[in-house]
Amino acid sequence: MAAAARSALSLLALLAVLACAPSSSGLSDPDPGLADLALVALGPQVLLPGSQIVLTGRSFPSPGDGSLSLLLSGNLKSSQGVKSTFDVRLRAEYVSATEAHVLVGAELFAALGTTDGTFDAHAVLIVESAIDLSSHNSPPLRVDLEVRSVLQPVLATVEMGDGPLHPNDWVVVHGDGLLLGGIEGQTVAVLDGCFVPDGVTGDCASVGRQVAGIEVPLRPLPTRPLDRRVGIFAYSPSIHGIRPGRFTGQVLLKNQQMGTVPVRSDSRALAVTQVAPELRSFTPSAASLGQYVELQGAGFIGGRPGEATLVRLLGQFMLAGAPLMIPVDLDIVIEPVRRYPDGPVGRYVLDETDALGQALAPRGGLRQAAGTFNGTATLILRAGKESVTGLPTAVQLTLLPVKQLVLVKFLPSYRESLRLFGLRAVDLAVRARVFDVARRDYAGANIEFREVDPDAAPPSDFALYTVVEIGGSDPNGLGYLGYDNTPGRDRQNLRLYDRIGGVNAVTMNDGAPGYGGVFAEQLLGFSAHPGNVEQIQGPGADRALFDRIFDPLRPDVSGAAAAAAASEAAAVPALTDGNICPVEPGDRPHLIACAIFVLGNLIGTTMTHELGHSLGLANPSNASGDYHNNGRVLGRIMNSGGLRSFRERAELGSGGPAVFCDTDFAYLQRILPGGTPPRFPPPRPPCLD
Amino acid sequence: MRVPRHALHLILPTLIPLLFPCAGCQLGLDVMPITVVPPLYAHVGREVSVPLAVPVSDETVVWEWRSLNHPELATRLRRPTVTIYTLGRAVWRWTPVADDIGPQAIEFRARTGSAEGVADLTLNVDSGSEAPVFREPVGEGTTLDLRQSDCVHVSVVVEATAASRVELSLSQPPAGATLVQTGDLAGELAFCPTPAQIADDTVYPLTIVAGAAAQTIQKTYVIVLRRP
Repeated sequence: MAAAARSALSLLALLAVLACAPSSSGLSDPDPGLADLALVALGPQVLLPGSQIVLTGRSFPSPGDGSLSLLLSGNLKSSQGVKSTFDVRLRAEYVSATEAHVLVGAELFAALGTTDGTFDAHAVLIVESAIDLSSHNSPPLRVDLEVRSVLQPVLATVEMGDGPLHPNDWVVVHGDGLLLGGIEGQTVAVLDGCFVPDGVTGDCASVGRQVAGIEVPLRPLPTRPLDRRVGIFAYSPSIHGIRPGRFTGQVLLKNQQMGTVPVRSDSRALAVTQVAPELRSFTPSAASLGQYVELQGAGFIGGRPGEATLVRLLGQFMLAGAPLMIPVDLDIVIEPVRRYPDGPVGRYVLDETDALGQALAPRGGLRQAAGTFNGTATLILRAGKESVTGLPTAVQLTLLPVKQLVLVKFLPSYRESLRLFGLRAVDLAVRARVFDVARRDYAGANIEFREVDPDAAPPSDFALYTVVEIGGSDPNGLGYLGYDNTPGRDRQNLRLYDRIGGVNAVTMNDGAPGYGGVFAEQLLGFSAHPGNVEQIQGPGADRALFDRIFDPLRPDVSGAAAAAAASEAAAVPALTDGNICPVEPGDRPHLIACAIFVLGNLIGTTMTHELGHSLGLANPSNASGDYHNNGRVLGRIMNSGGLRSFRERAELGSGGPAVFCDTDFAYLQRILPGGTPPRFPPPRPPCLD
Repeated sequence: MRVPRHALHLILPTLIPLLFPCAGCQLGLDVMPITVVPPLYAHVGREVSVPLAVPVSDETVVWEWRSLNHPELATRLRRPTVTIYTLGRAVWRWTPVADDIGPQAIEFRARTGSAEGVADLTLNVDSGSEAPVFREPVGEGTTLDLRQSDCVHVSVVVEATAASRVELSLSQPPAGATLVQTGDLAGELAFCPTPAQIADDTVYPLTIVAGAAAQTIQKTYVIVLRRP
């Protein structure tokens, strides 16, 4: 009794002192999402100092959700034949939900007690979950591995496909003991011999070009990146230039390993006939400003000092919609893309400043001059003072009207913010509504919206694209719903490459907030009880409406969040309008559907507004005009925030959806022509600009 | 007290247990160790999750935190939160804003009816910036048509999230090629070939270099001459 009383008094005293943390009874254990955790494969089989062990499997948590480590335990047999057991735990770095990396270093070798030996072991991936603060182990995976301090390369065969080689064609080597790059070291092919250009006769030693110890880096085969028995190298212009001719000599492999003396393989004879570059086709055959056109063929070089690949275009350009044929005779510059096995290929990006862009400038340039080029294309290689020209190939390339590609990234903080609305389990449905809103608002302008992962590689089809990030709270700490942090209004959309998101040092340097994007968590500010979120000014009736939509789902007001269960998700219809909203709390499927619809609208219309700024709105014809529409006409997307009510943004009742006003929309169609017009064009209020 | 059934001894080797004598604890209470799992990094705009644990089984734990160098962190509207779970566990969550860039020191305090513990966490919030990228020129080269002009001028634009200024230069340029900085993140590449250069060659590859703080990026670019 006394102990209980002391405890109670202590707690009371503590609560009186503490100001920050809410005291509450603990929640039951959260689900860390690791039920399917598994380690499926581990490699490479031979480990060196500095090697990177690649772990592949399932359900690896991101760093915010847990830390990863690899437990290896088993039996070792050293190169001297000594047997022992070992047990070691190594830190693993998250790469993706299916891949993690472990660096091989002193910790592993110390545990093994040797730098050379073989071992069979059980590998277990251990997750220290930040969600439930518990340790989770994958089922053990049996592995047979080897450790070596030095790896001796072996060259067995050299494979060059059928026939002669073009500059930069891939050469495949088979053998063993190849280094995989990174910290463990690099294998290089070393070539010696002599090259005689076509048309030159005589003894190579006197008339040819001597090749002595030219080193070309070897790469693992991209399709087997952990295989030490096969690698590729490019038949580089650095070996003997780019002229057609014949090389006769030897090749060997050299391992340049961290902290060791290089070791070499035996050499193999090598005879190569090098031929001129070839161009076969352009893909796609129709493209717009900022889009890549790939050139299929062989012999593409560049990206190193003194090297270049050009294409000479000869023919005629027919302007779309006009009986005009413009003669074309120009050179464009090509980027080599070192792809395997169907490469290297050439890549050209439609660019306003290059020869093609300049040639069409009098016709409005690549933004206005749609049409089709018909003629021939000829590859020209340059390396130092050497020049080699291929044969002309008939090609057709259609220039399409300028298109704005918009990549939408939903950040982890956005997903976390959905928990506050009780909608984490229906994330994908919210995203789908966001895209519906974006495509509807911009229907008629030539814009493509595309969802990509936050860490996705750049797209392979466009060099110029805008990024919009959907996040959680406003990192500027200002409580904004969204913010275009690109420099100024980009009138005429001169930049096709804006980024509404992340941090922009230039705008921050100007005294403006630096962090941009759409901030989903701030939308809770429409509530009468927004918790930690800054409240947004508005009529009480709007707050009540917001709370009727979300309170039954919000965990912080005792709502029951939408469940991840397939049965509940399947019962939720996708709404195209809000006529039924809000619904009674008992009608759970429609309750969730309305919340998805409203939150998707709120995020979507905030995104279309911020994107409008980056496209040059509002008042695009006025350099000193306001960032927002003039006057107090309601229902315009580019109105200032004070004129955009919750009902309008949520598209509930008679409010919304807002649209681009008359001259704003005409401007969008002018700068991004060729879009598909809406089936039912909405009435557009005046912009008053 | 006993170790929770989830066996913290498995966690401890890779986490960083911060065990402190409980300075300022109430007299008569036992000292209780707190395990704090520091984040790998802390960027502006990205939520930081810090798992916390004390070795109790079924007792109620009151968790408290305070900033040792920015006291206002506890009173701002969007302050960090602590989610308390069973078995002595909790998660401290915080999304830093731009004003939080720099070192942060947080003190955690946990208390049951019979024990109390204190632990500190230091972390450094950075801007979350990325490497600079060339935005212009977008292509790999251009053509100077000498029938129309004696010089070529190419706009160079760099996007840099971390730096408000980059240093632009040319590597191995042909004689007469210049890159003049026109803004913090912009410049103009100019090349007016001499008659000798025009007679000598028609292809002039060069490399554009942009340096920002510790990061340097390069872009190869080719100027093709079209002779009259």
